[in-house]
Amino acid sequence: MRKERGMKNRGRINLKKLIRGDRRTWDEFVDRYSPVIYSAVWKIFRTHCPQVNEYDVEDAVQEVFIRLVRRDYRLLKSYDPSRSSPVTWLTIVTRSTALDCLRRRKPGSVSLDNLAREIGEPPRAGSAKAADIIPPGLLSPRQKLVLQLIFDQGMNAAEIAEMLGVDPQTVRSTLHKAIAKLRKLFQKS
Amino acid sequence: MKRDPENNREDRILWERYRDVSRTDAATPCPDANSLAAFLEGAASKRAGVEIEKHLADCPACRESLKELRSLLDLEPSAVPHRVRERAKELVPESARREAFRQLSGIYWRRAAAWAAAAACVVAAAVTGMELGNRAVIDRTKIASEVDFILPFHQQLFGIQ
Repeated sequence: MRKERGMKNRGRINLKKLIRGDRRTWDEFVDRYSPVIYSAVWKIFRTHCPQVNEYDVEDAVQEVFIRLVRRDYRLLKSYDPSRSSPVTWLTIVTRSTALDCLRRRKPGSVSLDNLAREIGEPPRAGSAKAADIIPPGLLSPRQKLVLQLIFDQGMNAAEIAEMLGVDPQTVRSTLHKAIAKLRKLFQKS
Repeated sequence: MKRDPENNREDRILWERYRDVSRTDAATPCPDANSLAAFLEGAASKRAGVEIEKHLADCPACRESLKELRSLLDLEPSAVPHRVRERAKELVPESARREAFRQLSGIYWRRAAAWAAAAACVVAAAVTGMELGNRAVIDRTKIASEVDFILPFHQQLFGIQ
């Protein structure tokens, strides 16, 4: 489980008390996790929309807390502490909230390149005739993913290893096996 | 961005050939926050990890999301302005507000009942006091008139001035 950065020797927040509406636990939760949320929002805003100011950042941080407590803590209640640390889960919630805040801003305030990447490209249809030569399941999901990240997104083995939480050597090995399969396939055809 | 030495032209052509002719599977639903968090921490089960990698292969938005989340998790927490913390603390959660209202209303009705009882006692005491007072006045008037009537008789009898 990922270590909670800058939070050594501190007990876990009592989630049951938190979602029951205990004010003291809520204050403790805010004190402990607002630095994580605040730094994440700053980084996201700087990446996607550099012209935002500190008040935009503060509003987005508040929006994260509002989402956590609204509708009787619906979002906070959905968190499963047995699967991940609060920091990782909160970072995911923060990213999603910050991007929603940026999208709500007036058009043009978000870099189109970044937004297009965030929305994603439409899936390629592929040629039905040519697709017939590709055996189903030729590449494993990881092999396909590694090839996409290397050739389509320009990432290197170390970056992919960090992203997938594996060893860089595993990434290189996956790449070599995938390329060997493709070479064999196209040599045949 | 630094290129991986293994990203060579020949392999790239092979990949692009494959990518352009392969059918794109319909992407499975994007993983929820708990699943993604477990994957990011390396705590996902083997089966769940394969499912997420399969999804990532077909979902550019989730690939971008995962890449950014990795960099966010490496950030050091920064100092937060006092006003930001205080603003968040002021968010009185709904259930807490309900609980507080329940507690306050309970206290309110108990206090109101006590005040009403006290007020009733005071009013009752006042009414009783007034009634007794009136009676006392009447008695004094009566006595006074009787004394007025008696004194001249005494004065007459004993010569008192």
